[in-house]
Amino acid sequence: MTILDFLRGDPGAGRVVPPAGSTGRLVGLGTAAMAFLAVFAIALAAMLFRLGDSWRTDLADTATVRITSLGEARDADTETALEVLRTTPGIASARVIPDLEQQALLEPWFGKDLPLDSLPLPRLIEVATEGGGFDARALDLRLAGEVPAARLDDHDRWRAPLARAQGRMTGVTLAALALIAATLAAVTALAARAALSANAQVIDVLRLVGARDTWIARAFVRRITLRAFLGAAGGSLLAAAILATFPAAGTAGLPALRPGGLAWALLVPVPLFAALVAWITTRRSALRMLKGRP
Amino acid sequence: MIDLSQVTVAFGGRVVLSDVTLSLQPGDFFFLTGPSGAGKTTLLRLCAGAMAPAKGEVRLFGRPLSEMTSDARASARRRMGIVYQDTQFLDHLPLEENVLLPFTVRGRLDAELRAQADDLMTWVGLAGHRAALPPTLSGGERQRAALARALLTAPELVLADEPTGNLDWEMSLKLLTLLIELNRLGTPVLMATHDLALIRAAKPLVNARVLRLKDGQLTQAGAAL
Repeated sequence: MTILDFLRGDPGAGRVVPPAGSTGRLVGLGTAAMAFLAVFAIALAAMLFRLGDSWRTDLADTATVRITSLGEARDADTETALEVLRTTPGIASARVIPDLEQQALLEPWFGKDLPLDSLPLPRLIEVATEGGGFDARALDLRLAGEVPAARLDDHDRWRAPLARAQGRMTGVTLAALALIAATLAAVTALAARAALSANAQVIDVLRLVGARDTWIARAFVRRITLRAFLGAAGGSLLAAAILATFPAAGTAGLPALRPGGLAWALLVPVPLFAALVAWITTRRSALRMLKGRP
Repeated sequence: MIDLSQVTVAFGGRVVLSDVTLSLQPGDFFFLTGPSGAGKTTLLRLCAGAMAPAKGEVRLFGRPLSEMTSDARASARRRMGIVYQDTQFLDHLPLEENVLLPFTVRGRLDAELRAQADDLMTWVGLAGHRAALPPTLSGGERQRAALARALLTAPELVLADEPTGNLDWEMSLKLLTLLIELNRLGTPVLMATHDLALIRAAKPLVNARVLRLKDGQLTQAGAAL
C-alpha cells in the first residue's frame, strides 16, 4: 500500500467506522499538544546549536596573549610580543586591548569604578587568526624564549567543556523529543484501543461478513492517523505563530529562539512524524487487539 | 464442508455443548431445534468459526479451525451466508449499505452488485427501506435484510439462526422456499428454529433432517422428515 493509497483511503473502510466522537477529539488534542511542545523543543535545539557553533567559531578564530610583567618592562614586553605575533604565520592581526575595553570586560564582576592602575592586571593582546590558524606550540615556545612574561592562551581549554556542554544540551533536547514521541505513541495507542472497544459490535458485524482483520484495522488506523496529523498540524502552526512573534535577534549573548530562514523548514516534518508515530502505534494496537478477540 | 468432531463448549463452568459431532456436506438440509439456551446459537457460531471449542475439533472446508489464521477464518466466512439473531448491522449505515457490506469488505462494489442487492431487497419486501437506518426497522425487517445480505454473496453454505423468528407466516414460507431452492442447487443449509410448523411445512419440499439440542447433547431426531 502506497502513501497515496493511504491518503486516498478505501471509501468502504472509511464508511464502516462510526464517527470518532470523544476518541477522535482526544487524539486531536493530544497530538496538538505534543506537536506544540515538539516545535518549541526543536526551536530550542536549533538555538543551542547556533549558540554552541558561535562559541566554537569565536574561540577557534581568536587567541589571547597575556603580558604579566609590570611597569616599564610591560610596555617593552608588549612591543616584543606584538613583533613576534606579527611575524607568526597564521595570525591575521594582533592588538592590545585598551584599558577602557578591559575595564568593560571586568565591569560585570567588579563594578564600574574599577581602579585598573592600582591592580596588578595583565595586559591583554587579542590575536585574530587566518587560514588554518597558527602553530600554538611553536608560538608558545617562541614567546617563552623572547618574552618570558608572555603567556599564550589559544582557548583550547575552553572549547572542550563548551563542546561537552553543547552535547549535553543537545542530548537533553533529543530526550525531550523522544519523550514527546513516546507520549504521542501512548495517546494514539490508547485511542486505538478505546475506539476498537467502543466499536465491538462493528467488529463483530464486519467479521460476520468476512472482513479480514487487516482491513478492519486499516479502517480505524486511517481515521486515527488523519486525526493525529490534523491535530499535530494545528499544534505546530500555533507554536510557529507564537515563535514568529519572538524577536528575530538574540539578546544577552544568546541567539534568537525564533528560527530564521531555512530553520523554519525543520518544523514541517513535525505533523508528518506525528502521523507516522500514530500510524505505527495504532496499527500495532489494533491488530494485537483484534488478534485477542475470538 | 463443516465438520464438528466431539466438540465441547462451556461458559463459566456451564457446559453448553458436550461431545457434539456434526458434519454438514453439500446437499444437506438440517433444522436445528431445541429450547432457548440449549446452545443452538453457539453451535452455529462454531460452524462459522466465530468461536473455538474447549475440546474437540472444528474443520471448516477441510481445514482445522485451530490451525487457521484470522485471514483464513475470514476467507472461510466469505464462502458462507450467515444470519444471526442479533448484532448483524452497522447502525450508522443505511440498510442498502449494510446489505452490500460483504462486498464492501472485499473492496469490490459495482453497479451489477448494487442491482442484485436492489432485486433481493425488493424480493424480501424492503424496497422502500433502502435508505433507512437499521434501528428504525422492525425485527422482521431486519431479519429479512440479514437474509438478503447472506444470499447476495451466493454462499456455498447457509447458516441461519432463527431467520424466521420475527416474520409472518407468509414471509417465513417465502424465505423457506428460497433456502430450499438454494439447497436443491447443492448448497447445504443449517437452520436453527423453534418453529415446528415451519419444519412440517418443509416436509413435502425437501429431504431435511431435524437435529435436537438438549442439555448439551445433539441428537438427530433423525429421521428425515
